[in-house]
Amino acid sequence: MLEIKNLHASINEKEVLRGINLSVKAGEVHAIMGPNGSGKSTLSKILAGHPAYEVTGGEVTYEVNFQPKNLFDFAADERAKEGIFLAMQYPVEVPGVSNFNFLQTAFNSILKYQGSEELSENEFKTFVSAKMKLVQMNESFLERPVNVGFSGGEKKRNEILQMAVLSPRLALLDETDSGLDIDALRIVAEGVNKLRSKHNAIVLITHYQRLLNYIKPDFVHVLANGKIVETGDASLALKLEKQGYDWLM
Amino acid sequence: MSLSNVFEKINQSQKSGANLRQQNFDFFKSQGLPTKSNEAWHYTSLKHLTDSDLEPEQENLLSEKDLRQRLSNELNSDFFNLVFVNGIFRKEFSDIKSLAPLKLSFSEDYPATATGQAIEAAKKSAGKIQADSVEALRSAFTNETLIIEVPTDTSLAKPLHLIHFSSTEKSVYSKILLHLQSGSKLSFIESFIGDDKKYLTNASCEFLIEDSANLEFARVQSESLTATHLGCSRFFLKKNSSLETLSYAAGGILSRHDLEIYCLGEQASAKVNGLTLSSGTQHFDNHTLIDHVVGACNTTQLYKSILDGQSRAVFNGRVHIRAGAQKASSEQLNNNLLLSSKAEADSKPELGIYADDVKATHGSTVGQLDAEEIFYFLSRAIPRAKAIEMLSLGFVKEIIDRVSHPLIQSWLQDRLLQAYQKMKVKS
Repeated sequence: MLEIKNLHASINEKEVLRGINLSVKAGEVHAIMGPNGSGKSTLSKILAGHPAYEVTGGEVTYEVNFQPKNLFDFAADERAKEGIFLAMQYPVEVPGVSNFNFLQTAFNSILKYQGSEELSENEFKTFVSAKMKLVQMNESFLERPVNVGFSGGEKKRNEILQMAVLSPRLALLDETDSGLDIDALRIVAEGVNKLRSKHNAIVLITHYQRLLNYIKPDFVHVLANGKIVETGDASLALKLEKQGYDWLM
Repeated sequence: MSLSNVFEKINQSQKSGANLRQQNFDFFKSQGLPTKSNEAWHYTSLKHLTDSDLEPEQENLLSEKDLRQRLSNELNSDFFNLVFVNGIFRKEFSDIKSLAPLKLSFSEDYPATATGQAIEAAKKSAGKIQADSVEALRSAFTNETLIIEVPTDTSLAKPLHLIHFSSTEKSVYSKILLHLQSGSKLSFIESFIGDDKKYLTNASCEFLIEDSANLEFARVQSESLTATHLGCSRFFLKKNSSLETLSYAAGGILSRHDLEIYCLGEQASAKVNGLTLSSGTQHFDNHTLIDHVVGACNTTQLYKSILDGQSRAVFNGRVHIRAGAQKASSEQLNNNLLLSSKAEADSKPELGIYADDVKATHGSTVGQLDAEEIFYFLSRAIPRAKAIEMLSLGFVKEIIDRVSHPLIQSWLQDRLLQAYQKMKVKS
């Protein structure tokens, strides 16, 4: 569903991606690992349509209605409506907007885009309650402003709740495991696993192998210096855990 | 006919109060409208007003049927309504019977009334309060002052909603005195609406809040976008009294509101909030004066503005803590959100503190929406315009949340949303 060919990108005229090639099919889980500053987060932000980055070369096609389309023809909100979801490394705090209002507006935007009837407050309440159980979140979080005063773990769980509500075809999880203790990591990973299906794909961006004990990837890629330098199966992550990245550089 | 001739004619037709009106008119004539050389009017020009704009409307220009139609959306059964059309009281649209616990009257010569005298006495204990020429003009052209007395330990079952509806090309003048006797409680909305015409509103409300009385006040300026609005709200707070006030403004091409609070009794408290929504070429000027005449009073101010287009919002907040007003506590904060690079917010705190054992803080910010916040919404499939709406309304939600009365709060929430959407259609 996603084909990345020779993607180059820069921020503030500094080149951060230097020719990425990656192919992701429905039902697959890809892990992207790599040292700090290698371009992992950049890649996920570019795919989601973050405005700070400039694509300077290459192409990305994404399947829309079973047809490959140029991803860059879609604005950020259109990509989300077409099923791309980015779980943020640092979820933004939004004072004055309740989690419930945020989730309902997001969900209804997609329904509207698909030509379906939007859900009323009560209908959505029932819908979201079931999703909250998936990430073991208390319903009191619905009335609180988005991420305001949430702990690091609560923010990450809230991201996975959003993912559960929006049920994306392509989920990009940017360091969703960072800052989580072992219990929170397990809850988040279980949540993600329940959302896995043959119809959707997941790209996990992570520093550490430990997340991959819970979410088993089909492919592991190493991103270094703006390029994918190695691809393997889940065993590659274990090797990296033992040997570090130096042998690839 | 010159403005002086118009004045003469009206003044002669009134039964009483001619001298007072004459004095005020003479003062106005000697001063003229304030200009930018007047420090308090530094940011706001009234040059566009001509003498004929200042002539008071004496007629109801609408048919009964049109008026009923026009007011149908405004007469909310959650409230007891009092309706004024072009400054003239309209009993047929007002819930007079339900207001029976209050004492309502009109006076051509308000200083002669008991309420007028009580308010004059409060002014004296606050020190010299000098009327400016806008106030003098209002006093000269207001035929009858509305006087509302809330008797001791009395409250109403619903909020009182006083609606000023204007449909004129001239001026509408209005003066209200509201006296809350000790231990009484009132929730009060004063709203300003009008037809799409170029008119001027010049309106004031003075409140005397006696010991342990409690007032919740929302002043809702939703005038026609071509109107000019000049308003004043003045509060005298006695011992243990409490005030919660919201100055909401979204209407008019030019709007000025002066809010003055005089803490005259210890342990009085005032929570003063403001919300301005401006767009196009609108100009808003909020001037506040919080005067801690005596000590041990607690006041807070939070004014927020959302600015779009080429609009401008001024906040000038004066806090005065007098010598001997120990243990006074005062907070002031003004936050502005610019949705356009051509909008301008001016924020000017003025603190005069003459006592040493006090707590006084102030601050102001001017900012734009955060790009990361907008991206967060976009990445969740929320379109940009909706994201900006949610973030902007989120920015001022705190103000709406501070309105204690749930029915007033939800009514204001609806009004704010409508005003925001209207603003976005316009820009």
